[in-house]
Amino acid sequence: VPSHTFEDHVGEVRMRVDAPTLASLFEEAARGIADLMLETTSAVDAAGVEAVELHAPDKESLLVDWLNEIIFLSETRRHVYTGARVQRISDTELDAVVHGVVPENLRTPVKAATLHALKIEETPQGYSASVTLDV
Amino acid sequence: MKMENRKLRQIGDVTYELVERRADAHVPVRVIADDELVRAIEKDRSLEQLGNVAALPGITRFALGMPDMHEGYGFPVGGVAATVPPDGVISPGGIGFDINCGVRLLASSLRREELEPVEPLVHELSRSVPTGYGRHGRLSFTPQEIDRILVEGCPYVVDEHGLGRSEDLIFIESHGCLQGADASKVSSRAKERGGDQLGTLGGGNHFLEVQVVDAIFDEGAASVFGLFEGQITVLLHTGSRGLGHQVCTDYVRVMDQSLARHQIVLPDRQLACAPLSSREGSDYFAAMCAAANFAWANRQALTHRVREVFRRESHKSSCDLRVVYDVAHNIAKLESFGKGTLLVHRKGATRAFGPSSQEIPPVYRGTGQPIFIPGSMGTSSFVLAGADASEDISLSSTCHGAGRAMSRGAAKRLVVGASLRRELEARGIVVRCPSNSELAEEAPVAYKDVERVVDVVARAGIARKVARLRPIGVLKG
Repeated sequence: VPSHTFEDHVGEVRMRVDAPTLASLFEEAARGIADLMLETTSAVDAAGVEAVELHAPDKESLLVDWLNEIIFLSETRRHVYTGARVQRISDTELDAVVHGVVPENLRTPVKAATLHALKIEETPQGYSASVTLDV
Repeated sequence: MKMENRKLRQIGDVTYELVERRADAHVPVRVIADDELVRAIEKDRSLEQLGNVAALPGITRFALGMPDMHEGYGFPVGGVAATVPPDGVISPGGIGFDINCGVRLLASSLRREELEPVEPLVHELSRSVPTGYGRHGRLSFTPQEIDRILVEGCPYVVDEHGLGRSEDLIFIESHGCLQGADASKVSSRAKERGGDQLGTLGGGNHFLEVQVVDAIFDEGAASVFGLFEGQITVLLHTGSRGLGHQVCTDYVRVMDQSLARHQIVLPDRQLACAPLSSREGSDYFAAMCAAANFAWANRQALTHRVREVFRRESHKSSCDLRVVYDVAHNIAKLESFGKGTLLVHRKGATRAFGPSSQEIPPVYRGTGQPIFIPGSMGTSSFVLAGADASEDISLSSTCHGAGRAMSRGAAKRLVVGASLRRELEARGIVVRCPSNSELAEEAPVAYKDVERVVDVVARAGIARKVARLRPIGVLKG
């Protein structure tokens, strides 16, 4: 079962994500961002759907690009993307759609996802990654 | 008594050096701290991160950690590194996502007793200053005007939009405008993300604080800075908002992909960098300068708004707020050192030019640059004056705050936000923050002791203490 947890980091937020497949790892990481943004507020309405298409040199960059795309969409559309469906993924390419909600009051800022000490590891259960987020 | 420990070796009263350097380190790794702050610094990964910084191509002198240093990503927060242009690198991670996050101090003409009660003023400030994530401001600019803000910074919003007065510009680091900014190097995504956020505070640890000067340590310097005991001041802490965040995001990606071409091998990809002379390096520098100009314009727009509220709420048309100074603490700047020029990265560190600097306002020459060190929420902030010795000791840099000692999660587990709110209010501090949980994240217990941090930089000879500012109203971003 995909899962995400927030680990202690003195300055920022470190998010650990585990999932059985690369696609579900990316979907779960998106849910983690939404959880952070909705931590002190709640969704009041459904919002639109956005298509995301990305190319990157490796899967770590792809994950960072994916999260940064969601952060960009959230800030510019003022939505939180609680649902993500990865339609196609490789180590360097991703096609996905994200479903948004309108938050009552969007306050928790996530400025960016970083490449800091990031490694997507294959585990007996699937995939695992720890992403440091600037908040 | 000198303290020895596993990671750091004491080499001066408040100076330590990393014992075991990386094999690829080009320079020593130094930390300015006392025994207690060293123990806090050793608890997280900041020393490892500062050790990685020492491997940046073109770095000179040392990789330096300030007493408020804590773990970040790539660079630690409270890290300083200078590279030698033109071929030394520039690293967006050495500046951070919030380009030109900084602090501006406004000194009012009011005494504490003239601002009673303070609650209506803080309430009105909270209504007038947009806070939180992605909040757009009340100002509206065309794309052409945004480009002019990016290139011309504060002078443009003062001269063309009436946001403040021309004399404000004298009292802003670099007069609120870095030369070398190029709006065409800022992506359309960055402009889309932050272009409508001018005049907003943002979230996280950003704040607007109404304070009273409650101690003067250096009468001469305080007089030069126009500060006196019992005076009402306002401290603003914010940066370049979503625009700066996106500039950093864009260029970390660009530089990460150019590392191989520049034959750069790094211990951490978030240190992604490129020679300043390269296309990637010069493009980022031009974009960073533009984002820095946007941040100064943002603090200028907020200053204008705060002045309006003060005039209205004090019921005194003569009520004035003077800019004491405005300092950046997330930036890279080309600065003169001896006969040469260095590119100084300050990530959570403040410039600390001394009395001899020709870069500071004429009225401050002979005294030193004003430096503002905010405490944690509800604790005092400090005004310091930069010292000439900082050039050799710390690349003309000092700390930028108390420095976090505890994660946000740990703070929330330890502190009940509602109790903290009552505690602050019992101490006469009016707090405006919609969420108790957010309040708990910024609780004083989550930070180091700002007095200790400030005392260390004074002992180091980087800056001297001038005044202490006690909060009476806090608007949390």
